Amino acid sequence: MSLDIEKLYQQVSHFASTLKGEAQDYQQKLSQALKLYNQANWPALRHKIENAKTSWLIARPVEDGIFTLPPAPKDYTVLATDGSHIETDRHQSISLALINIGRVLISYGQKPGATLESVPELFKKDQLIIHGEGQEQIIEGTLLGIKRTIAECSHLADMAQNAPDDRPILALLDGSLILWGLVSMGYPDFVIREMLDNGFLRQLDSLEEISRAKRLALASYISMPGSTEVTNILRVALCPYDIPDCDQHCSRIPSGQKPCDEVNGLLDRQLFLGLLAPGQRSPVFQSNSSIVKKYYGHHRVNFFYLRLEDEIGRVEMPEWTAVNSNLLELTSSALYDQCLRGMGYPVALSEAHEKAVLGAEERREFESVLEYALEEEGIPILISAKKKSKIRRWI
Amino acid sequence: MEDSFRIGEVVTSSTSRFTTQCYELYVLPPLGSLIKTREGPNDIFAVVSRAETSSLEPGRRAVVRGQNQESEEEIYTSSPHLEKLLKSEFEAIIVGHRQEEHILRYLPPRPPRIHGFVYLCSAQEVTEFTSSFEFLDLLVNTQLDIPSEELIAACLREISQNVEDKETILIQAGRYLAGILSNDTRRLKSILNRIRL
Repeated sequence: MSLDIEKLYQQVSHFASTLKGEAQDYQQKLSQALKLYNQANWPALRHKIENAKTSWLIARPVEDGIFTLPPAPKDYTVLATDGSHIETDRHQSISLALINIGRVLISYGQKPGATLESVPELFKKDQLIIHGEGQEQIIEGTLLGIKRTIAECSHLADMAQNAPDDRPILALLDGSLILWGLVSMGYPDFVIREMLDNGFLRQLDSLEEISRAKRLALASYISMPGSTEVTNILRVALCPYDIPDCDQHCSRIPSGQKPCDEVNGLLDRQLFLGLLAPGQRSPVFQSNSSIVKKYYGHHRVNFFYLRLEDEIGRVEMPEWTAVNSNLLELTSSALYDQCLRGMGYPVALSEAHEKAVLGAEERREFESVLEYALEEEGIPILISAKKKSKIRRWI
Repeated sequence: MEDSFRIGEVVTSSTSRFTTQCYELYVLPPLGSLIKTREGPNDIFAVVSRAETSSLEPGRRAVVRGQNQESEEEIYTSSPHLEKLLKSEFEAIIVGHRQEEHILRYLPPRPPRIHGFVYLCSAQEVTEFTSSFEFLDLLVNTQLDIPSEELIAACLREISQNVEDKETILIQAGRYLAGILSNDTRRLKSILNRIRL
């Protein structure tokens, strides 16, 4: 056994004692945040947000108030996709990637039915290169994850195209609609364009096109979200300057002593757990992230928070779903219904995950099928000594 | 169920028994009924000895869902995907086979193939196969997780459903069993107690 539990226990025990102190700090921040949110002068605050120059992301409030969700339509269809991938590593001689997409359709009400399936797709080395501006970018790691998200969205569009139009349709993706990985890894512009304009956003275009013919809403769901875009609005409210400008006014003030630190570190979900009752949603907010503003156009990401029994979920939608009151109502009510049916997590996404997930057994199976096919063709399989040493663990 | 109804496919197979996964959830043949599959040119006959409905994925199990539902049926209509997550399977003990035109009431040379289609036997096939009771020797000597007396009695009850003269066939079967279980009257009695004339 490689983990020395005795040595670890002392560290875990110390960690637990520090958490106790943090809990008190959290309670103080939360009660301050609740007070600020409830007493906010929203029109004035909106104006202040528009002019603020902050080093952190602030959501733009679109609605006011708290909304109790209407019951979900009796008859509706939910579509969901999720993906999983395997990439052969540099310790193997063959460069390949496998993307496995789980696809789920469930129809409720009259004529109930379900389709659960998975679709694997193999990509060769030459399909894993983006060319542009005289450069090449290999699709691996984070980029392969983004390619997978595009595939999830493409399958969702395909299912939406073929879904019967006799009832409203909620199409669901797992995670964020904002491809954060594209900006956080500092990829060149041609890579971002390829992955967005020719990839993800093109699929969103298809879904939007379908939504003109069928009553279709698109959303993504994030369980236990870690975002702070709404609590950051409260930091703007606390800012004593008319035009908040972090660099100009507060860059020399140590962290913890800035005027806005009273609520800094509090998560949106912690705030809304205090504001919403089960079956209620927050107002809709618009994302102000730079990637969305620069590239997403009319697919600009809007979001709201949804209160379940013990949890807050974040629901993201493209603008064309968010501004259409029918689609917004369908998204919120059907998503809540999905969470109720799925013990706190949308049942269609949970089943899509089950169809997509590639566990250790599937990975071994993939490797053995690959080795068998290569052997049949007489292609030698080269594996690095490091990989071999992990497979055969000798003493 | 109609005659020669195709019910599923072989998913595990051995010399003495095989498991069938049903095409439809809960559409299982009754305990003791005669079914058949094929291996090459041979029909293989078997008696249903055990059935089970469980999760398709190992490690996933059902949870209660019906607390706020009026009927059991509602649980399935309000969660239509449930039927895609569950499977019904049954095991059958091989009791004979048909080579060319001959029915042979002993084990075939090879077990059925995986994915072999499995059918419920038609009334005519049941009558033909049970024109001799030698196949009961295989059932008497099989190790099961239920008492084999239960299976033999269930099998005879099923067979008797197929014939007009129910009494005669049960008396003939009883006589045959009395012969092979002459030194074990406790088992014989246990089987006969489970068959109502």
